[in-house]
Amino acid sequence: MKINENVLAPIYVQIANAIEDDILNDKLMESSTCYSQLIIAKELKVNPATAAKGINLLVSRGVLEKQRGLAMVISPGAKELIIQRKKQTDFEYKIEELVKTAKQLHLSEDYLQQKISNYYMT
Amino acid sequence: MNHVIEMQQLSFSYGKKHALKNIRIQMNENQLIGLIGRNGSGKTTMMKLCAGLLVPKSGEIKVFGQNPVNNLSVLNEVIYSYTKVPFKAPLTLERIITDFGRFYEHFDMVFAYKLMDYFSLNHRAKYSSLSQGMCSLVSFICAISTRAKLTLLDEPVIGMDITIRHMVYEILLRDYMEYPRTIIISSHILSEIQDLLSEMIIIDNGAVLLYKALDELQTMAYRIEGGREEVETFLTNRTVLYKEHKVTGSLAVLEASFDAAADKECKQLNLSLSKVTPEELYIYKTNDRKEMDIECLWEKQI
Repeated sequence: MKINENVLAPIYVQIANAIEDDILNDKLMESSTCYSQLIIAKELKVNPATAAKGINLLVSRGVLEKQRGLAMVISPGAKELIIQRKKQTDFEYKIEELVKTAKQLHLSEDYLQQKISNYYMT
Repeated sequence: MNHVIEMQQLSFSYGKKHALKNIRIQMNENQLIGLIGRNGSGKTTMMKLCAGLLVPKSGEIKVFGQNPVNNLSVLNEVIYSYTKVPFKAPLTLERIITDFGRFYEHFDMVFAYKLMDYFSLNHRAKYSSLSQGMCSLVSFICAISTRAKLTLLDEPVIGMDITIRHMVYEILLRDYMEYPRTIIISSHILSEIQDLLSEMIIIDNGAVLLYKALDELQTMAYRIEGGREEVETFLTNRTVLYKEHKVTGSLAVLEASFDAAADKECKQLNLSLSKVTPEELYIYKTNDRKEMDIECLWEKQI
């Protein structure tokens, strides 16, 4: 199932996705502590229940693990998990959109591939 | 979860005008609840009933499991706060805060003074000389400092400028985190507070339309836009909440969660998809939009 999450995602899903981005960008490292529920609520100005739901979503995705009391730790291997999931959701969706736009503009597959190669080089 | 407020077949009327009709609701404890509804929909009546300020015409209301009317053990833990309190004497802010401290056992005097300083309110200023926004602010400071287990904020940000509104929202959220309690807040500027909320109640015409957790509300409806025929095709066998055909395109709002089947069909029909915010959902649900009537306003009479 690949739903375009970005458009319809409720806040707690957006929070989970934002934390995943920080893990992907090495702002949060595997085996280190994740932002706490209180920090998320305070800094993003969301209800603590919403923050907790975002964290719980990441626990169910296997990205976070509960350790010693309340501290949430980024699972070893979290990055790979996120990459695998995003490959099938976000990335698929973006490619689909890209091809849709290309077709709308009557651009050839070759042109599109050429363009992509150019971006890979920079 | 415990229920802070329980209403059973609750009705209230002002003379012949029905304000609330057969309300049945059980509100969860320690939630930050947004109460929204159009003007005259019954928000204030509902809050006043919770605060024991009005007596139900029929039905039953229980706050902390008891009837709130003339019940001090309940009312010590309930604050109903609204914009402008019509004090008879010309009171200073200091005096108002002191009096609040007398009425409410858990009133945090130090916190109230800190808040007055935070908002640069002069302690000796006369309440009657304040602007509407400042009056709202004083009401808010008093209400939040009571730390009452049931805090009812009726349009707390009326007249406040945007900077102060955002300061107030932040204090509301932070204090709720420090001292979890049930806070019900009614507001017409819903978009500004919805992220703070955990639950929302929509009332319309004296009845509860919805009482749901915020994330449920955010995923219970979606909007599609596209060509007229494509939109109609999509709507076959689906329940429509709202539909509009315009020259520039058609749109429809569906009250359902967006699933894989809908996703696939949307793509096939080249329909664009967008989120329905709780605020929009409330507009779609409560507003019988008068498209034709609006055109009539500028029609020349012959």
